[in-house]
Amino acid sequence: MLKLQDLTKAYRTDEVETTALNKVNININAGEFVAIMGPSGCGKSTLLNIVGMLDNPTSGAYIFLNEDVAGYPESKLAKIRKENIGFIFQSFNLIDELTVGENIELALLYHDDVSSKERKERVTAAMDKMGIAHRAKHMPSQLSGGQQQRVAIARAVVANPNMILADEPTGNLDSANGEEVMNLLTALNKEGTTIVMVTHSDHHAQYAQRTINLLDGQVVTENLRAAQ
Amino acid sequence: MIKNYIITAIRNLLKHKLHSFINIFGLAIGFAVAMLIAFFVRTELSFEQGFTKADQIYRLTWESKTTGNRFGTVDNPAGPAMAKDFPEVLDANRLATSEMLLSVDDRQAFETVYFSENNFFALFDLQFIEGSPANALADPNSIVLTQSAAEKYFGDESAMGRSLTLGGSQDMVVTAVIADMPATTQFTMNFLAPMETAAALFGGEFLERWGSDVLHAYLLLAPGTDPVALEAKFPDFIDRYMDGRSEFISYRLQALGDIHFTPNLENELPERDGITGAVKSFREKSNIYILAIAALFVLVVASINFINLQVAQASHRMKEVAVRKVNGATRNDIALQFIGESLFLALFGFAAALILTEIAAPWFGDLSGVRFSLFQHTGGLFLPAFVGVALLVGLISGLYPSLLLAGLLPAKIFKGEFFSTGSGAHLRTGLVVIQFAIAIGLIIATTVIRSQVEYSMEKPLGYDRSEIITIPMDRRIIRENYVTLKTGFLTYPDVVSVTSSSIAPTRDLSDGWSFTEPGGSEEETLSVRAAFVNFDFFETYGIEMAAGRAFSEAFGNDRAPFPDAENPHIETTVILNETALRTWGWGNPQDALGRTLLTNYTDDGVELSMAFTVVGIARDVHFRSLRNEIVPMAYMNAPGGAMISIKTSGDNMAGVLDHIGGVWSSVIADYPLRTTFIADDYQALYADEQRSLELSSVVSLLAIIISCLGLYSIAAFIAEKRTKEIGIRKVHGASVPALVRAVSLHFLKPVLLANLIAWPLAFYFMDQWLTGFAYRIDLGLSPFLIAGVGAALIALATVLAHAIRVARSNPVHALRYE
Repeated sequence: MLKLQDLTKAYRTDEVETTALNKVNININAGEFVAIMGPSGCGKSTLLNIVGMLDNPTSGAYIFLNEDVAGYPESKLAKIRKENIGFIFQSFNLIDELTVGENIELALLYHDDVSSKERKERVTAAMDKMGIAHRAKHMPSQLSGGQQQRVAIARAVVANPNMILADEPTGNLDSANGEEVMNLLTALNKEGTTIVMVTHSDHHAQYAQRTINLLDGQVVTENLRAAQ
Repeated sequence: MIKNYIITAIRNLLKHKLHSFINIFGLAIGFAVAMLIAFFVRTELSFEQGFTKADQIYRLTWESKTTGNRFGTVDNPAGPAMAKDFPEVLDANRLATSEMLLSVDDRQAFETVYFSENNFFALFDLQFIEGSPANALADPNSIVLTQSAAEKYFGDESAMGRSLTLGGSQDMVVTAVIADMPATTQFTMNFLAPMETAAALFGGEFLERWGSDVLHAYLLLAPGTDPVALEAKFPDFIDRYMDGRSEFISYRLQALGDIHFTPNLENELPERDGITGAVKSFREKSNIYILAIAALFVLVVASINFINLQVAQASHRMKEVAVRKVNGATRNDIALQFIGESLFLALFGFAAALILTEIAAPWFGDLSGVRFSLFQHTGGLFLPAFVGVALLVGLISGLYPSLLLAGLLPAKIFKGEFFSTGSGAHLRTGLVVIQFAIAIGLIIATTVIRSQVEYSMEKPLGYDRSEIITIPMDRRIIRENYVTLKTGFLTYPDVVSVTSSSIAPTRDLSDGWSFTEPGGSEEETLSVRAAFVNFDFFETYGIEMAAGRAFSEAFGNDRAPFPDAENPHIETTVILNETALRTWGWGNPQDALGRTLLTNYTDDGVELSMAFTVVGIARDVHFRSLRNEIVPMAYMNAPGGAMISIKTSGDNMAGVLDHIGGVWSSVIADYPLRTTFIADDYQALYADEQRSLELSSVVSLLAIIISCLGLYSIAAFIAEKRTKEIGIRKVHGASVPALVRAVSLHFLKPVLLANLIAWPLAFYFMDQWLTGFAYRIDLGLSPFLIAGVGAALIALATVLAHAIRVARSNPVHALRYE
């Protein structure tokens, strides 16, 4: 699915250069469920941003579906992104001014090949799947955190992406809601979607097939989960 | 997708209701002001341009080389003589006006009647409702009425063929009805009669008399004629008809379009339309430009506001942009969304401006004297031009955030720090500085204009203008009964004194006069304006004597007839003003007393002479607007004159007017009494300044309001941005007052900077404006301080609420925000 080769990301301010990722090499195959762990500041989120094409690496190669996208301009990245990747964030990132339905629909809005009728159908289907159909007309502020994250997951899957990137999806949720989100992600993975998830929780990392541990911008260990 | 944009836009507007309101309303005010003033300026600048031949028509005027006075009239036969002598003068038309008693059946009233020649309509194309230009003035008894005049006297019936009487004796027949005079012409004409009728009424010879200047002359020049080259031929022309006169007078051409913008010459046409009430007073072009600039500034301030607020607003939406991008929106999608939204908002603001304009139109009409209706008077490019500006403002305000946000990688937007620092903040501060510089500049200008107008209204003018009533003496019967009237008026206890004169304050009707000194050569003439005044003139107007005495019946020599063949030599007295002494280098007033001045001239071959003994020196008096300098004056004692002036005690004015009316009707039965107050006339002298003052006051007030609305919104936005910083400061021990001070200072800095920009520019331009006045105020520091401190205080009050709210908030909330 994707391959990172000697990928480096450095942030530069006027005086200091901070290396967030240092020559990272990672392979992720299609259909995998990968957890990325590590202490605060180890580069987890930076890695996810680059994998999600929300940010450019400083050097190194990023091969996504046999294409090196590392130096691509934002417009080209946007195109690849919308066709292949869905996002789930710790803070949900729903647009406050849009209803639940409209927020989910957003993921299809920028796809010219989807008619408005089809959009409606797919949004309804996604809401049904996530159990939030009765909340379609509600605004995000009227929902609980767990419900909001389910809206975010619905939005992430509605465009049928090959891969879902989840940045601490359970970080703002209580354990019951967190568990539910993990079950939803597992179900999606079973249907064939590649999932890359950043998490702090060892427990939630257990849902993944493989865990990559980062420290100071470098991959320190990779452990495969014992088959369950 | 569009639907989604619209939904987001509307919900965002509603979420930030105050912000949205300020944004749209501010822009609407700016556009409304700009449109109204643009209309006003366009109207003013189009004066006389409605006439097809306007570019070829010039008014022939004359100027006294001795006094520098300019006259709107010219020697009566000069116009036709020029048409005869100069091939480049294609045609000449002469015009006279007179206020006459007009009677229709048993109705009678005074009306200003214009007299002109048959070719009037050939030069000035006016719209005929009935009758035709070819023969409208063909018959000596014909008269042309405007529609309003026809309606006033004949109601709904056709006026054509109806008769009316002029001056109680001259019967006229209506031969044409024309549309009312356009608002943009100097002519305040409602009744137009043939010049032959004027000749019959006032004695026919005057039309051919050189040296008499009661007629206005309009010349139609051949296309491409250079007026300067033509003027160069005038001295010879003058000498051809009046031997040697070119030494004392010159003729000048005044382009028709310039008349409206030239300070009134002597003998202008009446400014007020007696029937419609329209006032067509001259306008200082600089005042029009000041207004135009002020309006442009308000538009700039409003546009800056809009752009600033849209940019600030965009930063609230960084998350939305990021989320959209994460979900596949491209740079173009985002740019399109923001630009589209801003364009829509700007057009919405513009639509609101159209409504505001219609609402404000009547009020603006009173203030400016120019009637405005959006849908009637805004042809051509007027509205499209403003729509264009609205679109441009929308485009710019949408472009900036979209360029900034659309190109960024979403990860950076999520980090979301760049709006509080860096270029965005600099741009915003820069725009706020420009806004305030403009607002401060406008306040300074308004304050200076106000001071100058107040100075003009309150400056000691050398005479008393309160409680003086004047009555025009335009009939022989009034002049013949002057003494009877005076005696009658004086029987009332509140009537203090009565006089008559050829000249009165606000109405300088004086004539050129020249003296020689005994023993001096004929060439060394002393030139003055001569004023003919009756006994009690100086007492009535409270004009003080610097030396000597005023005219008095105790001195028989004060009143002498003009010399004639029987008495070719006359000795009499004269009173001079201080400026005459200064101009001639005569030293102090006391020394001038007793000196003699001579005037010699020839009439019908008889040598006549007058010897004047100087018996008094009067203090200088501003007879006209302070725009005009005081000229050398000689007061001579003569009966008659142009008006009677009555000084009253100021008490029981109703009783006084009642008494005057009673005396009047007992002495002069046939003519209605007309009284005016000198104080009212004086105000009229400054009508243009007053109007400019009121308009620019309103405009600069609006500029300040818009700027403050913008500042309020920006302050709210920045306060929010600084919540975290302030939280951290509080956690580390900063006190609320210290924080309020810090936040307030943050906003005062741009205002102080704005002062630095506004002061020198305002000083330069207002100093220029003041040079137009012969008597002007000095530019002190106070207008600058008023504007600067005022703006700072208003700005402070605007942001203080935000500053206090943010500084007092609980740091825990502030920090959790992150």
